[in-house]
Amino acid sequence: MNNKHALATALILLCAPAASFAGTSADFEATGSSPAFCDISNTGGPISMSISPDKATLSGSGSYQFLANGDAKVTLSALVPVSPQGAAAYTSSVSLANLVTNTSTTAAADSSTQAGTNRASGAITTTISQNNAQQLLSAGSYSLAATATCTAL
Amino acid sequence: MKRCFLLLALLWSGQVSAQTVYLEKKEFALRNQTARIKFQVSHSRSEPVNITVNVKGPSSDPTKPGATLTEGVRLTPSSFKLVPNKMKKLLLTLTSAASQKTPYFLCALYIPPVERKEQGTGGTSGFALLATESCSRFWLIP
Repeated sequence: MNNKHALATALILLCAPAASFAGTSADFEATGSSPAFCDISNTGGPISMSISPDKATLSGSGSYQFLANGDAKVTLSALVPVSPQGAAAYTSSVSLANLVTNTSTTAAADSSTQAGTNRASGAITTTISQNNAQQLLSAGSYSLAATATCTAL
Repeated sequence: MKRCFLLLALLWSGQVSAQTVYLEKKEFALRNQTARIKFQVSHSRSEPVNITVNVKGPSSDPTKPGATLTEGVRLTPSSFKLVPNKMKKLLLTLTSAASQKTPYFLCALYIPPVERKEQGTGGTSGFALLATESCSRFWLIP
């Protein structure tokens, strides 16, 4: 009889809804992990560039925002400039203020590792500058393309 | 709980308009040279935008993505229009012959639409187009 009673008690305890244990136990276990990520955005879209008074430079500005919840790096790809046919020699650059600048059409440029959590914003500056004896940019339309990449490490 | 953390991460990142890749884990085991990687992508721009997901291999620097992989990658769709503040769940099946722990990168690319304003003829004008890409590094373990 005692065995039957004990078995019945055990069954009741095992089959009872979880809520009925609330009065006997207050153990909670909450676990989780926050995914590492980084974001970088060009907040203004395409950047218009206008000629300087000395007719030597096209320049434009925009703005970026960058955030990361852990170590991250920002890279600017090699620049892809397009110029009018037969244009005089020129150079180009893209800069994300306080992060990274690239002036190369063949190699990417990297920021240092941005350690820990980061939330930064700043100016994007783009320039196309003459690099010829006449110190003039040729007439016509120029464009400059690049990709800013952030990498969560 | 995992959803709560993802939601918190989305809300936190939602204050900028960038696209984001969320990986559930940082390390994935290769089985028969194949790994299945679940991840999510979101953005917080004001309207639906086209996002392209690229898988990049290792480079000489473990902190830098290498070339975009075109072989050994099964990811459908890899390019899609995504509404703001929605998590799109994706599954990447990646084949690798890596014999040691190797870094790979999942990247979400956004290219802003070009709305070029035509200038008058004879003038000197220009515009710059800065695409943005957010990558998350993960490791494959043989």
